[in-house]
Amino acid sequence: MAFTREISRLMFGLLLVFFIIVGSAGYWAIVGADSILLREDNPRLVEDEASIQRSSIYDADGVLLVENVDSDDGFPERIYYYPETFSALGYFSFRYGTGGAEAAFNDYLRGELLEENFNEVIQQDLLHQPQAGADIRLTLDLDVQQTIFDAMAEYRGAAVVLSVPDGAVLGLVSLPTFDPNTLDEDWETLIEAEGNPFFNRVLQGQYQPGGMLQTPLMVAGILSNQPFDTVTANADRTVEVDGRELGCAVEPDAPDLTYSQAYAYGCPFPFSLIASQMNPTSLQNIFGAFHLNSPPIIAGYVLDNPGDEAEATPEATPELSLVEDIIGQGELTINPLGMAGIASAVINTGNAPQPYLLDAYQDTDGAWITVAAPATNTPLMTANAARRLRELMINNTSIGASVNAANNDLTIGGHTALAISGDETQTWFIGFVTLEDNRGAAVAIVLEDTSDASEIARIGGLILESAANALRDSGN
Amino acid sequence: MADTVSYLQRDDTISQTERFLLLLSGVFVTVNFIALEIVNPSGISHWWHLAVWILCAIVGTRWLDRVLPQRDPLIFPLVMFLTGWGIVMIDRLAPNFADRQSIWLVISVGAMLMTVSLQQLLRWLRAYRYLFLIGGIVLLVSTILLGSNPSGFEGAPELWLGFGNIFFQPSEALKVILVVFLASYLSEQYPAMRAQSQLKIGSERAWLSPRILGPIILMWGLSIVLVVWQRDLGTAAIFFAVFLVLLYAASGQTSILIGGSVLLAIAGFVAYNLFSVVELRVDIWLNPWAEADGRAFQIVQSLMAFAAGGIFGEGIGQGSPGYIPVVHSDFIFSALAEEYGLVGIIVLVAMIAIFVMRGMRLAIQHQNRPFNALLAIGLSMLIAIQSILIMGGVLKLLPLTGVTLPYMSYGGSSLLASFVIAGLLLRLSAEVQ
Repeated sequence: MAFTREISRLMFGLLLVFFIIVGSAGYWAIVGADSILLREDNPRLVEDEASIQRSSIYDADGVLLVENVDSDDGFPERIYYYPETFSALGYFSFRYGTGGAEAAFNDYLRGELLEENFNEVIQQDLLHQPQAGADIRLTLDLDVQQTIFDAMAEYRGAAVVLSVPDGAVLGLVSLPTFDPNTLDEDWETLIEAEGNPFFNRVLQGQYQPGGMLQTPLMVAGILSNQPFDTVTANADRTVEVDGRELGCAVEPDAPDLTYSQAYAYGCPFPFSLIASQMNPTSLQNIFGAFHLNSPPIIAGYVLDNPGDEAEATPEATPELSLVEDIIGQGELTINPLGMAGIASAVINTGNAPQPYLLDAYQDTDGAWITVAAPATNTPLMTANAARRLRELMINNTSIGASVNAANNDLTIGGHTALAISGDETQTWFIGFVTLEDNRGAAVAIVLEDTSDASEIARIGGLILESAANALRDSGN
Repeated sequence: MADTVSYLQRDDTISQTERFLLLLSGVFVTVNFIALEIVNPSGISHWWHLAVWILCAIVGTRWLDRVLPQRDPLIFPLVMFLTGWGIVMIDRLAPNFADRQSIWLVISVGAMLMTVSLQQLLRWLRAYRYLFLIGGIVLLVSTILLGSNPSGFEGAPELWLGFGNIFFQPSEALKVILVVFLASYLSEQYPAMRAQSQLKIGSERAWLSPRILGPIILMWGLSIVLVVWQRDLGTAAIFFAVFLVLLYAASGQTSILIGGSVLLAIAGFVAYNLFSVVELRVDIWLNPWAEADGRAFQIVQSLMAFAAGGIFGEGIGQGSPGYIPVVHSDFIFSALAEEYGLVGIIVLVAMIAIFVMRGMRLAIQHQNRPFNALLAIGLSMLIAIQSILIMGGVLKLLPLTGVTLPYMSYGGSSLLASFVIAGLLLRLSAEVQ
């Protein structure tokens, strides 16, 4: 027949080409799929991300703090409602990722941690309905946040409040902060901004402790049965630190002070005298017992921040000696969360509870599932030492630098001190409030570039009062 | 009497087979429209397109029963299946174009039925080949002189002739006319070509024979004209490839395929250096990743669609093929890959392959009628080569040529020409002895 051979060859050739096409499609669909889908210029990645219904965040009382709302451009807009919570909540951005609690609990908020049920398999895998996150409830109390934010509005610094004995973070504010609602627009400015707003001072800040080390030293004194009624003449003298003078947090009524009084007024001089009785190892042991070199972290928090590498915390003072170590001007730096832990241990028989921020999440049926509080406590001092220190700190609100923290209706203890950091003076306050049934709250505050001890004590008192109210309201 | 009964039974079998296959196609298309409606509710729009498709299928099969009782029972269901799937995809990708495509479907099915209804059509085509060729060249020249682009984009190829709001791409008609002309010409010349090639295989004289060289130069020139004046790389490639295949089938010389391919490569090299459109297509074919956000955006997004679809696809209306520019036309194959996955691709390629093989089978059945045989080969190869060019193009196997996927892509002229091809193949199937 005329064309049989040619037609057969053409048919064979065509089938071969069709087979190659299917093979090529198979290659891109199976073998090469991952490499091409993971390319940064794959718009489907952004679309997938945008399609996720990121869930809302509530405070401990169920006040809505953050939610997604529909916007005109088709992409959901994430709205942060309360400026006082911005630094704790962090940010979510399609362009810049996540930070703060948004990053710490990202898997919950994206719905990655929810167990898939049959309905979800149908909805997501077959019908490609958007993945929905689980609403989360934080331990933060909006009233406490408000109190901290308002009280510290004029300052740069950090404050954190822990519930005792469970370790729930009732308040967490780092200043300066940023507005996550306008993050994309402000990003370039923010990463260059003075004080680095992305730097979470509560979690990442490493500050010169200054007089804050008086608390561990007092505990060491209690444990070694040191007499605190020994009077030091001219105890209000300053101590020279790198050419600058570090003195009492507030000026005492009389120059001669016992250690208890020096502790109340935050005077460094009597403590600098201890250097002659100690060696570096024993000092290290004291500070080591308080885990000052390894402060606690809140589970899930990412501790690297965008922007430049510059430390927001002022520089440590370079020249070192045992005296400087003892008065908190040596190599050792401390962190507000760690100091809050020490304050909480004082009213928790010497044990610092593990801080946590996530209270509960909603399961797929809408029920709140409470996240168990971490059961781990870090022993910092003996129960007896804690009891004695508690008495001393309560006494501090009667005389000395922390009197402004006192509240007639509450049992409050505190300690206020100064630290020198570079050209700045920092002011510290740690304190606690105790309620019935061994419940209470502990706070640590640091304000940069101020030496107004009375003011920080006043702020501490306000915060502790607010925390006490929050605890009473919640029935915790 | 017994013969009559036998024929009637056979007619019934053909009709039943065709209707069964149409029913299967109808179920497939309906299920997909329902799925699309669930994912992307449109109100009445989807159902109107489905109704048009069903109407075309019913009228088509009934008409064919009347005028072509003995025909290939697979061809019409296959083209309706592909067209229905195509309308679902166009409705999903570019709903505004689905209305037009549905209207073009009605026109195309009408043209197909007219084609099959003309009893003397094949005789006319053979007898008046030069008249058709002249008509085709007039169309081509008209397009060069008066062509426009419906998109209105400045610099876009002007391949259409416009009559008010209606645009027609003459090159689609020209493809069919050219195959008819070549089938007719070669059906007369092939005995001489074969005799000459047997006597002078590989000799200079055989190659220089005007019988072979003449048409080659004519077609090569026509292809160059298309590339130079119209920048229509796809149509030029189809013209030349179909012509080579027909010349090979007629002459039986494999060297023609090889020589033609070399000529194509040389033309491609020259065009690469002379024409920016060719340079662009070749560059992004060789390395699309370097310009994934620029000139190669379309092909890179196409490959991402294949990757995103995986084996089973995202499901109708649930992928993101919209990232591919002009997805409803040239890149409908990629959209289908994303939403139906590799499984969908296999089904589609199988359907096209079966259609082409049925056409080639007709060529075998018509070997005692060279014109019919070559016409069947040419028409089948038109569909095959056009499909391969666009499927290979979006898969980065070949440079992109910007042609439509027959029966599936949006494009009225393409759909009309493809249905006329189906009509001619049906006509041929009815004339199998």
